[in-house]
Amino acid sequence: MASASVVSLAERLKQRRDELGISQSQAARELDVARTAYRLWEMEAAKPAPDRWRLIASWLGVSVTTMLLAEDLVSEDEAGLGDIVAFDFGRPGRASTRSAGESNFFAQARNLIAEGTESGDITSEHAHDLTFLVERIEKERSKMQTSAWEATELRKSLPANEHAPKAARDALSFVGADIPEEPLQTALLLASELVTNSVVHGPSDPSTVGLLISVERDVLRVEISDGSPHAARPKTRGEGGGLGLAFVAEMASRWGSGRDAGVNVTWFELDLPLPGATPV
Amino acid sequence: MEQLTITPLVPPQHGFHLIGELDMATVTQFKTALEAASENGPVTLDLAQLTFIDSSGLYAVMEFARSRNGNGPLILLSPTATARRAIAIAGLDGQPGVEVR
Repeated sequence: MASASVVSLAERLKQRRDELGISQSQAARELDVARTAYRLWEMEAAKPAPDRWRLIASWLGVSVTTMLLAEDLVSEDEAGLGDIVAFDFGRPGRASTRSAGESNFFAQARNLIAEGTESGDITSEHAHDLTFLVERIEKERSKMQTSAWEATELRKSLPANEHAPKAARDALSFVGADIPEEPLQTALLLASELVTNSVVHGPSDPSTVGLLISVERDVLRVEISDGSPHAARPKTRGEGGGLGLAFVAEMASRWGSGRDAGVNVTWFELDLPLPGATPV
Repeated sequence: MEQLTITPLVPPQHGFHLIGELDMATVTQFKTALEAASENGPVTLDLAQLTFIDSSGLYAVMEFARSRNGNGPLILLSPTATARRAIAIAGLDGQPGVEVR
């Protein structure tokens, strides 16, 4: 273990390749880089970019932190903390399970540094730099958490029948899987109302309902269109329209309706609490 | 595809336990069940496991409450937060003969 921190990346790559009994080309393929790039790494003539670190570390069978300890891969100026954040923690504003895994990661990193310092694997200078780096990443990351929900857009054309509201809700549940329960439930109700209205009052030919769901930053938008370029021919008027629109008017952050190129469009938007904000 | 399960409550309670989703696709099934419950005395709809209800379902509830015409209250039991909000906007909670608990 003590020797691990003094072996250069180039040596480790060679050792690993020997262990596996494979050529440079094969290693390059496994690491998803050009053979030339891989050769330069082994020659210590070039260093892998941050977005390669995780793959290389896992190929070497070590953690990224351990790998970085051995190398001068990280310097504050050249490493670009943004890259590290992006590659190591996945997409911003996504996955509610993220926070647990993430705090684990930071705790783990600190533990590793502490252990390494204790055992003498890491010099106190190294430990200082690494702690600084972990803190920087954590700080950057917490900024990203409050930035936005992942932008998503889903378009669907549904047959205009009694199953359309459920189909629209299913699509919305899928797109909004990460959105907090309360706004999601509201969105499901309002989308169901607009689709129901479209099924009941929309044109009968062609009998489809257009659904557009989008999430951008902190706004969920749902747009329902009658899906027909022809003038609307109302079907038998059923109950439903009034109350459904009352829900939309009461619960949506914004809503509206109009005719666009002969198609009836009704939409609503819900403002979402930003990811990372205090949970509802 | 879409499911609504309607189970009669255990006597002496009258009413139904609703499980699933109530919208335009399942409302006919719901209305049929309600017709069987037009006895005198309180009728309870246990909504705790009704994960979704929209205006299609709420109109049916309102209509049923009106049709009871003083034959004892219609009790809406444990609606979800969103259902509770919709019930309030629909004015169901203020409708004579309807109790939301």
